[in-house]
Amino acid sequence: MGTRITQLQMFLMLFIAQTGTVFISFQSPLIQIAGTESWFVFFCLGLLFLPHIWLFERFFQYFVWSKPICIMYAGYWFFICVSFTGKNVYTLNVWAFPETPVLLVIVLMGSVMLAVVLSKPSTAVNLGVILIPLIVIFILFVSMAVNDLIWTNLLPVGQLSLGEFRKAVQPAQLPFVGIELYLLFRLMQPEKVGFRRLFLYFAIWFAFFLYMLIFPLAYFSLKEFELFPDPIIYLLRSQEVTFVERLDLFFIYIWLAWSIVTISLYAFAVIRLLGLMGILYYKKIAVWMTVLFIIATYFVVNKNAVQFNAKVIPYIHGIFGVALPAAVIVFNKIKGRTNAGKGISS
Amino acid sequence: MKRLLIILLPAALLLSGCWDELIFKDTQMVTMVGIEGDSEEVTVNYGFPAVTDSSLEISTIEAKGRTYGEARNDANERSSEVLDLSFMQILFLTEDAARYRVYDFLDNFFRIPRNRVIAHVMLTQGELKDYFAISGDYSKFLNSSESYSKMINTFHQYSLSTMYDLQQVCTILFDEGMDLSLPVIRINQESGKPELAGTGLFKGMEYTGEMLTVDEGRLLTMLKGEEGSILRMSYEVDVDGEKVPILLELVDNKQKINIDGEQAGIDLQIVVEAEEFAHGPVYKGEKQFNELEDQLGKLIEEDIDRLIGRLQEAGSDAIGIGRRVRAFHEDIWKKGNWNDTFADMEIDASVKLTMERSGILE
Repeated sequence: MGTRITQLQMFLMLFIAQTGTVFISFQSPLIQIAGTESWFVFFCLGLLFLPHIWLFERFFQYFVWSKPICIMYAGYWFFICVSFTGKNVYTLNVWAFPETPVLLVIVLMGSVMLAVVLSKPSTAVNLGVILIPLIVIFILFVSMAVNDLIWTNLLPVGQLSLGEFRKAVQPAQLPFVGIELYLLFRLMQPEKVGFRRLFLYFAIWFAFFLYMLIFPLAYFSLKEFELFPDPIIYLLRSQEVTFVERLDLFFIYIWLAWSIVTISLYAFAVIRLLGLMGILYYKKIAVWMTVLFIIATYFVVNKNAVQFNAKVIPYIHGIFGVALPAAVIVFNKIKGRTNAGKGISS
Repeated sequence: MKRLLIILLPAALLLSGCWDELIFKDTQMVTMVGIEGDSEEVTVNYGFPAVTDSSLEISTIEAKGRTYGEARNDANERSSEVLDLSFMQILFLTEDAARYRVYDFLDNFFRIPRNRVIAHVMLTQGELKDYFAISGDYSKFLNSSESYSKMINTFHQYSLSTMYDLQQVCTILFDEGMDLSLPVIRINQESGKPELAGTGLFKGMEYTGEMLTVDEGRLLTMLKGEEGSILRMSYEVDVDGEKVPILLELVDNKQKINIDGEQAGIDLQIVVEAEEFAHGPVYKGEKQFNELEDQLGKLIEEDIDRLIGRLQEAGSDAIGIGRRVRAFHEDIWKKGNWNDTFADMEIDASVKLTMERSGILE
């Protein structure tokens, strides 16, 4: 029996998976390269998101989930889970839980992830709903800095050389990570997705990331971005509010929940791939996958690994988010093969 | 499975309670920190409330080190409790220490997540210890960070000086388009009470040693659009050949900075209330009012020109003209070091003053 989701559920899952961890960390590397023009670089690149997702919608049937493709994507999403959790636990360790053993944090996150994938698919599909109010609260928190923004920090624009622009495109791609999940989630959604819906999703994604970029850029001096990797947390730390002493610590808990849901969605996607490969009894595999996840994550909770992953992810995304889907779609279009009849077992 | 989820999610959120708890009796909540020294040796004073049998007193620990971090470690080793800076309210920096690269002293405060970055920063004149142990009748009242916080609120509310917290200080220090300006306090020799001496000007990361008077500091807050809820200026105007004192309160303040080549113009449109004046000669009708507006506008313009002259002399762009230049006039910005360009620029202020109300019905 195939798992069916509504368009709203599909876009919610995609949004959570795409925002997950990168929204607090993609700014610093981008701003360090592009300076005042980083918002412009992201603006130009972000506009490509709409044709990108539209092409996925137009040709997703030609992206045939063959066994090798499933294995490659399962490996990629597993890597994303590990690197995101590594970054998350490292930040928590430095910021909020310096004395708490990192292994314990990873085990707890892995346990939640395992619980989600062993539950009915509806658990993973609807888990993102709990984040909606938290995301709204988070955006309100960030907006509190509006009076301290220096708008001249966003100018001048148009001074980057082609080489610098190309360099800046690498970190600017981070918010795109996860777009390939559309190809999988779309199979669970039987109705045609209209351009208006795609545009609406694009507009929300674009506005969210542009907001997350412009606020720190206009709040801090350019040179400060060399001092800290996650400007959003620093921005929240400097807000004085009456209802809580430290807004950043409050946010850390929101972020923790957000990250747990994100990795659970990626794990859910991996389990769906097992279904596509015809592996119906996946529970044992899910347990071993979690054990492997815990061990692998444990070894990437350090500064060097976090920095290394942040550098390589844009390149790997280029393969799995752009090149491979394009190659597979073109190949199958020529061969006339489609996904028709492929069901995803629950 | 849902039950497991319900247990695991809160468990993850409550983790910090197991290993990262900080028991109040094992910590010293540092509320005031003072730094003096140079690039070779740093002396740090920590002030924290200590409960004695009958009252709450402020205790201090002095520590030395080659860097701030080393001094803090020294203090921790000598204290029976862990020094916790998450409640820090005031950070003092001596004028002498501020002449060195200030950020080197602040980096540790700024980047360590646990520290409080909304603590206010002030420069001090004289011995740093005096600010932690004030003698005389004022000691009970003043010897606490809260009293200093109240003092800072007054400075800000009455627009006596530009006020910044640690986060803003670091942001401005790294901003090439604007220089920092901080309140300087001193101990009044007669009363033994700390008071505002003026506004200290920075050039890049270092304090220039130049200090604006309280009146100039007030104008600076107006030029930066950072005035508090009250900004009062006192002038003497000429009415029918008679010198009359008049007290103005700022109601509204709009400004525009125009840059043309190496000339800059600051157009200031201010609306004031004539708060106090002697009854009789000042207010004699519309014509008189207009003349007063012109006269006061010119007086403020002269003061602002003088203030800009002082800023240029110090090479300190405390107004932040550089931010506009960087954004819109790249040719000027790229000419060289902005502080030098700023010092050589021709900057003129023009003030259009409107006296909107008199504060008295008749």
